[in-house]
Amino acid sequence: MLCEKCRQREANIKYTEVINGVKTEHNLCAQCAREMDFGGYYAALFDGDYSVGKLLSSLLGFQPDTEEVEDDRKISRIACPTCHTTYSDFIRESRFGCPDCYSTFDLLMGEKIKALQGNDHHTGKTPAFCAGEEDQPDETVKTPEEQLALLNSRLKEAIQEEEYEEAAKYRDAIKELKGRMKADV
Amino acid sequence: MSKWYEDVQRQQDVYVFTRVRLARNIRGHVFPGKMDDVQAGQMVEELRAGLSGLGLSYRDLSHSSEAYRKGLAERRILNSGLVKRTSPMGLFLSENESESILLCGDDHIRIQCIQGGLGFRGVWDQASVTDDWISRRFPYAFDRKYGYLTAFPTNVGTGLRAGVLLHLPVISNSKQFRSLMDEAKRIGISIKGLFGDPAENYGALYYVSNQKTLGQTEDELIMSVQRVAAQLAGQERKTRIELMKGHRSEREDEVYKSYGVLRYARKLTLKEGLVYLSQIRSGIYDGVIRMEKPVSIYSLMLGIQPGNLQLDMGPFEEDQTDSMRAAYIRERLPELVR
Ligand SMILES: [Zn+2]
Ligand SMILES: [Zn+2]
Repeated sequence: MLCEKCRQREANIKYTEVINGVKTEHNLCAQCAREMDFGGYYAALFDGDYSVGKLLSSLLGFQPDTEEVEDDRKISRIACPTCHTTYSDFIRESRFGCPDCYSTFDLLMGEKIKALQGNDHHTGKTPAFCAGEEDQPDETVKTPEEQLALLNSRLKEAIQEEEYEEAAKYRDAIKELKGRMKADV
Repeated sequence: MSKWYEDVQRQQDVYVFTRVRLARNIRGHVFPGKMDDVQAGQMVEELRAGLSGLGLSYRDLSHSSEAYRKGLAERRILNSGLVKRTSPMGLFLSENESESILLCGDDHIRIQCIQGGLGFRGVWDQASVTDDWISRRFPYAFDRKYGYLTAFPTNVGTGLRAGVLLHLPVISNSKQFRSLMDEAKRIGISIKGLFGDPAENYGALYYVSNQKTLGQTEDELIMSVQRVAAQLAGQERKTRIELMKGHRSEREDEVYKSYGVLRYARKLTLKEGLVYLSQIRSGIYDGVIRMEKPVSIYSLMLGIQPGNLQLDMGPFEEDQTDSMRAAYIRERLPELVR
């Protein structure tokens, strides 16, 4: 089947969109899928449906017709030492094989995960590990500079979201922290 | 003991249920997708033994029927992509089905808590307590940068999917609804028709949930879902009040007609069932009709789905489905208060 957009290349991405109960099937080539408005398509990726896995692949994948093809081939053979998932496996299935894949592919994937998630650092809860566990994740004590950066970004968020009470709280905390930093010097 | 979705007390006019789901994996093990059946079997068994202290009843899903798993998917306990999976999978489920833990689905562990009406505090606390309990027994795969590591990068970080199911029969028909959906998408919230896959969205039920999982705290993610849901609910309520003021007799006619069809039809397609039940649901909350005893319309909407209908009324041949569906509703729809 030919791509419904350019009508030139083979459509190898099937995407089903359901809006207000109306179901539309799209058959696109990787290139057109990439060029289309991804606002909507990105959203579909988060439903965890397998049908969109392919689309994720194309989003995370390589440009097929660039000069970097040789390099891409080399990259695509990089494999996770623990589960042997290769980069191209990941691109194809849009899922990782084991926890170690994240560190293996971090350099290659970091930017893409950031594009997908809008962020690349976890700020939520952390596990209460079993007592006596040896290699606990090092709970780092944040430096004042790190704390300040964090508070500043929270403040910005709060203002953007028009949560002025929250914002005031962060503003006070920043003032207090700055005061302490001065006192330390 | 009745199921959470049969309990009509907690449900509200617009808010049908609140749900949170946490994806977790165990350190030092490949994800289920990379496991062979022996490895997956061992993992399921290890987790089953370790989590038995939670007091939930256990079911080996690889030995349960496809109809059973289809029913679970329709009741939002199992991801629909896993219905046909044959490799070892286990499920802990509380008696009223509000709490569940899936073993070796897409991730090693998926904790889910669900409750009628709006109530993130309750479901989040419950899921988080279970999560902490498990984390003291099994070392989670956790990374300082990426948080909880999951098979799909779309779940990494908090591993949290927080959602609310809304009944929006009026505003979902409006022209602005599409733009509301787009607007929500832009701030990382997805609004999806519940029965939007594989057919169409009948019944006007919309699931509002967070798309992104990384870089925001659980509270922030939940708050953003709740904010969008509240906005939609507010608009639906406002429009419904106006509609009742200006078009009461038309509304009454629609609702009573729907009741009549459901009360007496001998065959009902899924679409018909959902559309008429949706009319009745809003009719009850708008004060158009009153039942002799309270009934959870959402529970009926679940019951007439193909999998659940087979479990309840079956086994029956496929060409009997529409008759069975009509019978199912006839048996459960209470008389009206005149
Ligand atoms: Zn094309
Ligand atoms: Zn790996």
